[in-house]
Amino acid sequence: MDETFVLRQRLKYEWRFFFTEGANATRVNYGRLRYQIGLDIPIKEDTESSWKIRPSFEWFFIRNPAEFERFSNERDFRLLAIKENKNDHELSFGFIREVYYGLNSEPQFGYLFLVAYSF
Amino acid sequence: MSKKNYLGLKSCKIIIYMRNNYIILLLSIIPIAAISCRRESKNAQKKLEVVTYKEFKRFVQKTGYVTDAEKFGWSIVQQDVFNFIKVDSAHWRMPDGLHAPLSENLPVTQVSYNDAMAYCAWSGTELPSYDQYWELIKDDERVVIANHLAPISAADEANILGNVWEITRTLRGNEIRLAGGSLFCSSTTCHGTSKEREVYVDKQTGNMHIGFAVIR
Repeated sequence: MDETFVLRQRLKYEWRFFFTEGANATRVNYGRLRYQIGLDIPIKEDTESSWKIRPSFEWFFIRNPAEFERFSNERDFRLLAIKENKNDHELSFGFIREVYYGLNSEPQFGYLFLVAYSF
Repeated sequence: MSKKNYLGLKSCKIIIYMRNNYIILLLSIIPIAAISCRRESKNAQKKLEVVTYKEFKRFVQKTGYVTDAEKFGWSIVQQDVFNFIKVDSAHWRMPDGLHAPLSENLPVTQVSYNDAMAYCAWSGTELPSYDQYWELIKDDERVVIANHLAPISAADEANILGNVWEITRTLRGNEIRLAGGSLFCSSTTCHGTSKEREVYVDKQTGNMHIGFAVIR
């Protein structure tokens, strides 16, 4: 890629714990692998901050998809607008389109909007 | 606060997810120990690098920055150790007022302290203090361009010492201290390549033989 675009890849392993209380109290923990690939596209930059657009795809892999229906074989498309200040703080907002497969294997779609502040 | 940790990730993150019927607030914190680890390793690798014409051009293209010399419409062109003349249209793109630099790898010149600080703010780097400058160049073993040994040389081919003066963040009132001397300097002339030499200019001054280096 030339210096205008940055190709981003991320491989992450997560250990997840779920605790629920009440009659059907559960204690579940499992690991999942995430792989994300996307681009950083700068759109505006000045001496104080820079703006970029970050489209990306992310895949989630877990060992036993049937157990955790909501998250099994999920695939996300994310589109974020990110403002990075020179003090390294970052404000981002955008949306996520999720595709995931329940126990009946029918694809389901979810849409989330997010605002994040990193520092 | 924390900046980035050793993985290059931000250390703290607050995320608000919004769906049709609910909102999730997520706070993630990466341990401080990891941050300290990166800070220590970063300090150990501090390096002074001369800013080249090419790098400064990128900064200007990205930000539309206008240097002090461009605002004034003139700057100082040094003929030799003792002769300085004011030249219209001398600025970083045409250091002598007539020609563009022969190579993009030459140190950028005709920039002031104000210009150097703007570059640092944009690039996330910092100017060295006068003492830091001498500390960071002590292991540079490349040839020192001084005493009229050669014209201004490419930043990666010559010692940081000599070649062109470097702007530092060490102040005396409203003036800033220059370090390192230029190709005109020798033990019998301006002594700029010796640490004891004291040369100060104001914050708007540019010169065909003044550039800057940053700590990365």
